Amino acid sequence: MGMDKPGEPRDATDKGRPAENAAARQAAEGSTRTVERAEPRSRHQYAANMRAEDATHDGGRQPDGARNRDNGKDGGAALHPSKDDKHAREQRNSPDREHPSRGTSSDRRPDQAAIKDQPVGDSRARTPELAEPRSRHEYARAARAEGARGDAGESGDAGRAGQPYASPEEHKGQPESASDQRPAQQDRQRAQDLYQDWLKEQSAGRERGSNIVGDKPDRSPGDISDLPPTGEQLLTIEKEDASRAEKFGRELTKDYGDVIDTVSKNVTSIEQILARPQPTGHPEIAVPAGSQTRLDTPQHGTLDPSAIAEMGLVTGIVLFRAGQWVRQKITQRRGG
Amino acid sequence: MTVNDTHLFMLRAHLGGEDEAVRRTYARITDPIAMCGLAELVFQAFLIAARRKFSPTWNHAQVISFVARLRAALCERPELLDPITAELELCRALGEDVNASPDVGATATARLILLDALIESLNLDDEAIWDLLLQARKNALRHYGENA
Amino acid sequence: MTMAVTDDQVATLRAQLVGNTEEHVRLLGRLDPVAAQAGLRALISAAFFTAAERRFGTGNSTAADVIEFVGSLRSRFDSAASDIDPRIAERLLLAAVSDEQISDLDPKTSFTTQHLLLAALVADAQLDMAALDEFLGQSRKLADQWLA
Repeated sequence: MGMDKPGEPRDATDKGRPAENAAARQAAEGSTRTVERAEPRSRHQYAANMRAEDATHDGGRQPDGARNRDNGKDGGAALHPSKDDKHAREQRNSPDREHPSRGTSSDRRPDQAAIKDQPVGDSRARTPELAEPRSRHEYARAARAEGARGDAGESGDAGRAGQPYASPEEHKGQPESASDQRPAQQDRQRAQDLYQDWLKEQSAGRERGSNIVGDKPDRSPGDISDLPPTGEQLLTIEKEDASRAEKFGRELTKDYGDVIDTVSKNVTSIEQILARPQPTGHPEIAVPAGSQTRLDTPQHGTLDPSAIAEMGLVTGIVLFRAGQWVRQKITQRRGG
Repeated sequence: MTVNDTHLFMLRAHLGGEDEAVRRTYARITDPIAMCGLAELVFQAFLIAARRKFSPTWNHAQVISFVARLRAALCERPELLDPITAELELCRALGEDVNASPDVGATATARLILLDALIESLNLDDEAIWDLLLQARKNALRHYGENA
Repeated sequence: MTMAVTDDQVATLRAQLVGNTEEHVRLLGRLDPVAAQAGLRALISAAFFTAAERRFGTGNSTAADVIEFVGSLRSRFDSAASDIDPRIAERLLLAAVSDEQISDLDPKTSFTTQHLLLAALVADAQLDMAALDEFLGQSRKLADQWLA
């Protein structure tokens, strides 16, 4: 997977030995594709080096996302260094290409424009007589853009550089490549390993406690709630029933306004309730695509520091005091 | 604010039932500000889990039912999870433009408890939980930076 | 003068509970507002208590059942979700079958919620005419006790 770059050779196996030697020389000289390095070579030398380096790399994506992958459409565009050299000389002597750094898309020569318009994969775009259609700086800009896009993550934002991930938009509908899975697996494995170390630290010096009461820690041995009531309890229950009814009777002493008006306002709702509709009439709402991890509602965006601190405090307290209980209840309910 | 390994491990330990580890770590924390990162991690994880649970579309009936079932499970402590706040947070997480509850404490509690319930309902295995938490941390750091 | 529930008030509520909205509205408009202020209010409240006790007071129901009932009601349509505060609804139902206290509730909100819950309880019970009349008779008796 990668960008198609007109003019870039597709089949690394077609490179001749002279190209490999050139690649070795260039490898010794270091990468020519860092954006920070000043470029002492001509554009054609640069292109030739890159083509040669292609021959030495075994598939996969280069860190700068620059490499195009072989898609089997090689048109037999084997490089001929001798012809390149000839063309490079012609380029250097051209008044339009006095300094490689001045190359821009607007400065494309007519033959380069023709190449640009040719469909990707067309072998005519890769004839040895033609140099790369873009200037070195154009290429560098594209490489930087490739690197930035690779750090987009789920949100689509341009993130920190150095991450070899493609954006989700690029991968939409496409299966994950092995290279995409490796970093996530490594991250996960690393986290798991560190977590195990952390767990060991937390439990160092103490054995895990066990419940010696039994399997039902929430139930006291004196709990007789599941037994039927006694006669005395039944009398008590009857009194409690009266007491419960009285609670509602006492509410009638509190004045609040016009009863008929309140009852009138409830007519529509009660009509709907009595009809006992199934909960299928609610409009369906789509879940946001990707993971918009910032909620753009005002209150979330304007949390003050004290509120943030309170959130942290409450989260810790709930985790500490109720976390275990909550999780157990949720698990029990799901299993029951 | 930062989301560090301690936050990640505390939450993972909680989800995995390693409660003693959670309690010990929490007991050693003296600065409540140190928990801000945990709250943010919980929030981001909650967002991811909620959207995964209710994808591709949802409606209010589903949210109300989910919260009601959750509160029924926690009925012995009905004050723990405020239903209105829980429903609001779910709706917001799922993209509805509604204001959050002004009760910050209830909001933080709802997010944590909802995260528990969502993780349980999604029936995620260990790897999937790690992937979710790591993505949540990544999202948290992206939006709030790595420095306090 | 001792107030008591009138036949007109019972007929008004009965028309509503059988789904005859037109008749209900007509009768409602003909009620004596002063008498209704005590009588209709007591009748509706007593009917709610009786229905709640029959539904959840048998000893087989739990707080979780109450929570799920309210959640189910609120999920039926959007206005139910906004019209019914789940915490108040649950407390009213629990007050009918346990020692839950309701003296702190706003009187108007409490009455409105009782009225809506009454409709849901009657709808779920699917009473025939005879059972409905028996139910209303018992409710009237309780309301008269309160008004005495």
